[in-house]
Amino acid sequence: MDNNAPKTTSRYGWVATLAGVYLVILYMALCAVASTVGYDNRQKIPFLAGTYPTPTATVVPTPEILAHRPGDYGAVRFVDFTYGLNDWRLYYSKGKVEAVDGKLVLQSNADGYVAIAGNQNLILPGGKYYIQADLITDIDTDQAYGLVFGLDNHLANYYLFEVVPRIGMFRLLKHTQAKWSELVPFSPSHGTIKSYPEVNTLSVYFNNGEIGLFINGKSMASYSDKEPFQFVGVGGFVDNFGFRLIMDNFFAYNDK
Amino acid sequence: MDASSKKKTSYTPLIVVMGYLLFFALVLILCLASYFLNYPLQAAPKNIFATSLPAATPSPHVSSTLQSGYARIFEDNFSGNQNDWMNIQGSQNSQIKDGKLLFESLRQGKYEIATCIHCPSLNEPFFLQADIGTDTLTDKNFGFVFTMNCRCASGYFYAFEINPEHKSYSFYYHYQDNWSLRMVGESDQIRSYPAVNTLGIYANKSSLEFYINGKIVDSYQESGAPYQIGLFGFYVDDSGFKLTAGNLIVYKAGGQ
Repeated sequence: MDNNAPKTTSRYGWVATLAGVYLVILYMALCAVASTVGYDNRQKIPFLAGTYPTPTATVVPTPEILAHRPGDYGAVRFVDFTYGLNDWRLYYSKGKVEAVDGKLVLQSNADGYVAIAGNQNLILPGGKYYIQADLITDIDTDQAYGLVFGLDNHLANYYLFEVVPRIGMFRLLKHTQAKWSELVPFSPSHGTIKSYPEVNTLSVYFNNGEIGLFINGKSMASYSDKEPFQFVGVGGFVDNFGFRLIMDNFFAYNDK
Repeated sequence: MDASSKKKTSYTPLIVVMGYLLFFALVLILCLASYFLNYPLQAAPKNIFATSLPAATPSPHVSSTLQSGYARIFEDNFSGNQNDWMNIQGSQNSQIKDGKLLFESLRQGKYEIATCIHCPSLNEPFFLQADIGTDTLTDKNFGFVFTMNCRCASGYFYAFEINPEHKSYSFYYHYQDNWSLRMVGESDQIRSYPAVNTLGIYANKSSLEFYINGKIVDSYQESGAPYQIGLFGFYVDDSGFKLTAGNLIVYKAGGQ
């Protein structure tokens, strides 16, 4: 027994030494890899970057007309809701329209009910006008929202330009009495519609039935309505209950 | 020497094995760190402005216990007509009978407001409350008006109305013969005829809270609106029934 013992010790010692040497090499390689990963991601690691991230609000640049700029800016009516709603009103019988911190806030109060916040005094009769507004929702939603135009006072006739940011689609609808027509079917925006919580600026140019649709200043579609509405109500809408639409920087002007 | 050899034989492989285990643990940590640095777990994006919106479920500023601590600005138990109640459309004067105020619109399709000569013009946060019912079953709206700029029909005011048959409430802005609907909702708090409903309005600058039978049913905000300033009274939106009002109290409600 005593004679065999040193032999066994020597054999295992050699294996252990070799394994130890490999281990040292592996640790050195690990340090090299860790250093490389750390260096490549130094901006993402607060103590390496030297700064800590702070939450930032979505900033809307100085409001301006993004599409179809008027020849005469003096004719442009601009509403930022700082001084309340004045002659803006709720259409449909289940909803709420408020002005909070200089923004119009619209919601439907019942599942399956549309709510519209509209104004009959921004556009003059004449058949040629442009509207634009910054729109965002309070939560991420798969519901549609957008602009309403050609709205009469009795909510019988109007156009809806709606977007669904969750799926990046838009369309144009026409409501005549109690009937809906899809003038422009759901179409992909190819990345033009920004996802929540980004603001989307929607615009419509209406010229006696020639309707141009714009999203974030980019022309998306046009449609020629042979039986156009001449009503002058304009505003924003939500197509269902469960979220709030925040609308700001509403531009409107009559074109010559 | 023999003892030392035995010690070496028992611990060196163990140390090497532990070294390998530690190595693999470090490799795993490095892999996970690298993955999450490149594909971080992101919190759900949030609209920063939405955090300043009023809560979807309003919390009351007024409770029955708080009311007992409020100073009373005005009260009328209608034991007599000492406050000179009048109808602003002038169809006929309001009546005081059995501790209640009674009035109606005498013109079909026209509203009527009752206010009193000695009712104060409010100019600080208030809580306005009264027991309101009708003399007959009706599907018309009735309720309070406030923020009136004159005891006249041509001025501006806000109206908080209930419709017990539909169990609905609504909020309007009236200006120069125009009506602007701002809010419509439904509440099981509203009791049907012949029950009387206790309506309450808390007004503080540009914020409102609406109470029915002691429970808050909704809140409202409008930037720049002077809700706490002006005259108040009772309202019926059509002819065909008499509004009955009792226990009118206006509290000084605190606020900033």
